[in-house]
Amino acid sequence: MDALLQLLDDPSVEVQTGAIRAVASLRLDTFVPILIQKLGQRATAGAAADALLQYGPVIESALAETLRRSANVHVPGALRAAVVRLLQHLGTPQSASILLAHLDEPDEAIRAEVYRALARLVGREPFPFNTEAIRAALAVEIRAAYGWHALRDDLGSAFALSPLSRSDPTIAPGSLLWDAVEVRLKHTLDRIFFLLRILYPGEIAASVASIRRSLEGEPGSKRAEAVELLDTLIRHEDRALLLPLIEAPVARVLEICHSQLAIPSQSPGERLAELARGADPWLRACALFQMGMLHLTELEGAVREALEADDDLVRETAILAAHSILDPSDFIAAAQAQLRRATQYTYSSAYARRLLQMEVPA
Amino acid sequence: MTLSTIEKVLFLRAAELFSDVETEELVPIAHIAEEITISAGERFITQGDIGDCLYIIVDGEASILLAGAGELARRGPKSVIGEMAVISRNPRSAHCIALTDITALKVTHDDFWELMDQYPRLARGTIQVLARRLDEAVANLRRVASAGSVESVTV
Repeated sequence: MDALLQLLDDPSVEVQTGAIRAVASLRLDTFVPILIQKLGQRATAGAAADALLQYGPVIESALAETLRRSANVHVPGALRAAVVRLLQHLGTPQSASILLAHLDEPDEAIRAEVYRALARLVGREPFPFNTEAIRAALAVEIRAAYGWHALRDDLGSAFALSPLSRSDPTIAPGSLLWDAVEVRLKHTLDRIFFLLRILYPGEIAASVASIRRSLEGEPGSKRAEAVELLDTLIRHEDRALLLPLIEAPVARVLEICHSQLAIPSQSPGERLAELARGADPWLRACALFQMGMLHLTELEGAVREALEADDDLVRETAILAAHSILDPSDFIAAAQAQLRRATQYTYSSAYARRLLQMEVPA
Repeated sequence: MTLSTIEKVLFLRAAELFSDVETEELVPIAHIAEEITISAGERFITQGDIGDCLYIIVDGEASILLAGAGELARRGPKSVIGEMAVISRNPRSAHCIALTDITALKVTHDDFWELMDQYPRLARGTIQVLARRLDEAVANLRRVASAGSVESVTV
């Protein structure tokens, strides 16, 4: 056993993979937590997943514990996603039940994995579940989709402020944030469609898939027929807010945002500051970039806050924005503070150093 | 010029090879993309050499020349040169000479493949573009073949 434990930690990936296969043939409970950890390492993830599947449903409680633990301690996203996929492969009612307990997973990417796994499971073999829980999750996602529409509309005037966005749509700073919001909206719609597939397996799954393809502009997709089928088959309370997202003009979607969902309009500056202070590192970076490109000095506070962010890309982009927004002397002080804080190489500290060399030549 | 990661991402988006990759997924490529300067008059790609990197021009202008045929085209900011070299190490099909001082991003074949191993979504986006190009190439071949058969009938 000790020898196997050592081999599982061997620097060579080949040796580790061999040890994982050996462990799988023994199927000793002791190794389950180690194999689960190996799911989070790219080089060993595939072998570890194969090994764990050989254990069968006995690993379900350990997988459930890994997902539960992630609420309190950091568990890498890759590992959590792999756990969700394993539960899908196991495909037992207990696996489905574990997944159903994570419908409100805060990480959007993992939530999408959970929904996708459940949609596939219910498509394979229907299992009992609380439809109201799925409907509640659907309502949250639908509201989020409207929220992205409202955000995009509010930001529209910020893009219009940018001279670059008018002259060069491919490289305009505005288009980067716009693109990020579009991607978030697309991912939200993906989650909505997974939830619909759980609620309405069978005939409607093909319709949902067809609408999804048509939204992505795939040629040959029969959107109109699919929307009509959706309109006929799904319950009124599910379709009232859903169908406008799929087929209504943007003006109607925005009207729903404000009149039915009470999503308030905000100024572009408020939106940018909100995004720069948000939880999504990529959106934060895009918002900061936009602030810098537009020289939005009134948002200096949000830029200064982002200089203290944990995420390296956010900090680096905050330095870029600060270079544009702050007085030269304030910028030099902020960049020097970055360098003092950096205990190891980071992209943000390297960037701060290069900008400082330009501002204060040796 | 000193480009931040997010500015590099903006230029990488110009590469058709990355057109199906979500912009956020380009951050790791931006991290491996080296900002280089090429002096005016310098030949930075030689026809016949094995390609091992792509260049994205950030600033400046380059001339594409074919040995024995002269200048084929000029390339400026946001142009991607030697794109397929990061996928396959084939011989370069033309010379490239800097007409002005050039700032460019350079992505090497080895670094790119290392990333493909680590980021499946990056690999997926790249595969989608390559599959589309393959479809286009097949469609072109069909057109040529079809035109050929028409000619043979008319002749």
